[in-house]
Amino acid sequence: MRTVSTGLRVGLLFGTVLIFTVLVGFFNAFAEAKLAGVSIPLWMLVLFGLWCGHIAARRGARSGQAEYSLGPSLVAGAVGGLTAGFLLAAFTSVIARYNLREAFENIVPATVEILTLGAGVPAGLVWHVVGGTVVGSIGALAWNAGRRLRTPAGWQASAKAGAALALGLYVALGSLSALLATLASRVPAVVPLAQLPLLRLVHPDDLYRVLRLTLMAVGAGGAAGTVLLILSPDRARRLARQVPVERIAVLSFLLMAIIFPLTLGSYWNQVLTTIGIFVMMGLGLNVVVGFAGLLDLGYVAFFAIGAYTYAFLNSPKYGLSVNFWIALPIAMAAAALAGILLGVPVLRMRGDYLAIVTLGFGEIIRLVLNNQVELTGGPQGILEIRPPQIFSFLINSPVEFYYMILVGAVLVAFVTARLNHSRIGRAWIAMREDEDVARAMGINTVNYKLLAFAVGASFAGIAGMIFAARQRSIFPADFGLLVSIEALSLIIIGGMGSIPGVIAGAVVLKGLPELLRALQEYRLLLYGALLVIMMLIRPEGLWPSRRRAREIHELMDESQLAVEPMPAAPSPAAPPPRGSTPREPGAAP
Amino acid sequence: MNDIILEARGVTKRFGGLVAVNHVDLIIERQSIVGLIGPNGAGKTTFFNCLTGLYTPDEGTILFDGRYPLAGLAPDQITALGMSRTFQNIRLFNSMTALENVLVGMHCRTKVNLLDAIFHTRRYHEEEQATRRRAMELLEYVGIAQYADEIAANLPYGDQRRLEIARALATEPKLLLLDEPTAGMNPRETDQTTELIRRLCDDLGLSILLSSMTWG
Repeated sequence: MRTVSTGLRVGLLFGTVLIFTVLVGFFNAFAEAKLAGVSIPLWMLVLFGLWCGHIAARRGARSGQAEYSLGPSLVAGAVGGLTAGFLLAAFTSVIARYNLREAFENIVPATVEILTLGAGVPAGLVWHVVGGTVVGSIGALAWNAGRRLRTPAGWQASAKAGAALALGLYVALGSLSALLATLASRVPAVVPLAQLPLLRLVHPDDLYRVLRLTLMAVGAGGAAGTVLLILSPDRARRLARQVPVERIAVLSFLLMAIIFPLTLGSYWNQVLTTIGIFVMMGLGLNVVVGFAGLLDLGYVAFFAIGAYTYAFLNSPKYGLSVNFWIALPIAMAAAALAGILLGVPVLRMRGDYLAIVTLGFGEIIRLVLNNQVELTGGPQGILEIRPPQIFSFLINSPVEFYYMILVGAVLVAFVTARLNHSRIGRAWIAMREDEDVARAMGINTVNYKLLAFAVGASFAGIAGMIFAARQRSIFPADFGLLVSIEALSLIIIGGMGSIPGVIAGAVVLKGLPELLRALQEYRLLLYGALLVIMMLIRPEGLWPSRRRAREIHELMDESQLAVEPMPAAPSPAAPPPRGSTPREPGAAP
Repeated sequence: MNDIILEARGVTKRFGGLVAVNHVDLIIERQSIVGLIGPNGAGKTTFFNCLTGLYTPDEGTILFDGRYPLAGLAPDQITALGMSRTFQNIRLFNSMTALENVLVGMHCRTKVNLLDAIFHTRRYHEEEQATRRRAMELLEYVGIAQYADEIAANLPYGDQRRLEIARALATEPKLLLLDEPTAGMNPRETDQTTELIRRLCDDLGLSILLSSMTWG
């Protein structure tokens, strides 16, 4: 009985949310759009049903007996799906009969067609109810499957090993295909080799295909690893031990980043270049926010300063034409100086106050660029910026820019990593954790704050410079608040303080909107939704630094301790349980 | 050489109308252990904060090591002169390991700069090795070497206090201020800590100022 009422409650909730998305016009907007050959409305309905069943199953199992069991959770999932489907069917029949357009502008006659997926009123309603029940049950089953799979120890390890192997194989083949195709344009003898069907299949000339194949490889490899575990646990465990998962993953992504762009074409290279610029910005902001703990919302200012410095030095408007290698340190120094100038007045500020002051700083720079018409050209911007020339090589095409940015981003990542693992990085993190104690332990927080601002700003300066050189013309409107927020978001999504996290965040945040072109106008909605979901299910980020993950989980554990009374309150002197690995008393070095 | 490590004269700290520390005179001789005893709210911690530079006293002078007046110095400068402290409510860097906590304490005695860190110069390697070795020694000295790679927050309570002392020792102090080092400890831990403090004074030749709510 309880499981049924749980299912009812969850179903009502999901049905209501679904109706809400109809009312705001989501379904109308995407009626024509397709994702992987399936229309977006169908995607939405199925995903909502699965999600509803999943949640209902979890709640149902929890509200039932202490031990979970298949039956109640399945009932809850089915009832949830049924309820949501019934609610949607009722809503559809109402809007089919009555004219609600006066009140809700998004309810048009076509909406009924969209909601019933073209089946019309009586048939579509049956579909809603039956489909809802079925999909809800599948969601509940999926939840159960997840529970079952989690039990045998180490299944994730063997699945991960399988996934890594498959990914490595795919990337190796794809790289081979890309290299051969590039070579074929010069050496005719390689052409038949490059035309091999297998190599044509993995040829990375379209990012959608790359993504699809990557996901397929990872999924298939993971599934194979899981199957192997079920068939032969010993062999699976040996596999998990022997495969260096992390190294393969890193190497695969490096290969992808280095070789795939050769054949990706200029549009996707343009996208990758944008991602690269944001990787550099993110790494710089990560020094300020992630390491030193200074919340900077005006980070775009340094990006703008780098861009305008390069524009001043390389535009016919000012009659200057400065070599790239000379402009680079000038742009970095200009941005770093601006960082220090911002840093000095905000030294004593913390947290929210710092955020607001830096926010103002970013806006000031943008307004100055906009209003100093004689100097910066005002809203008309600076045009005809010369592309960079490295020695005798003129960088002009998107692929060339991509490689230039790749080198820059790798260098920036390298410097950040080195700083992180030094006395300087430790001082920053100590300062972030407890400024007073850091000072009492002999850290000159004034210098280290300024250093963080300067280092972060100079990275943004390089990114801005490359941005200006790529765009060939820059305008104050390019440097709005949104850029700062995007840079901050990608750090949070990726994992604050983590270098691979920043890269993952940039790829997700700048790459995803390009991949989901159909959702363009809903990009900001997606942004917000992604941030909210991330913070809920993975507050430490996609690829967190070990340290950050620890902090977040400690906080969570503490808040849980505060809510749930512990069976026996630990006395302050009692040793709390330590890390998962038991330690031999004599093992200390 | 002067026999007095710290000389405070008429130190006063007011918060608005509340006089937290009122004309305190204090002389600490070298290699001695001096206790500061008083109930909650007596101003012991405020006085510590005045000495270490976290607060600026409203009146009075503090002379450190017979030579250095502390007025107007920042906490990190005072630490560099050779005064270090622990905190009443343990304030470790909780996301760092025990070893890293001690390494942070060595900050003002090390020199690696931005370029050393980026290019991994010889100075970086030598210093990093030396500081790690020294940090391990300190952890061993206070008796928690087995927790070197453990997250500070996960250490048992008494060992967290020991780690704080190790971190303070890492700054190479001449005078060590211990703010209620035995607060919240059971009798056995209290005995061990007392023993440790005595060793600090006898073996290392430190001067120690400690505050406590009780005799003992």
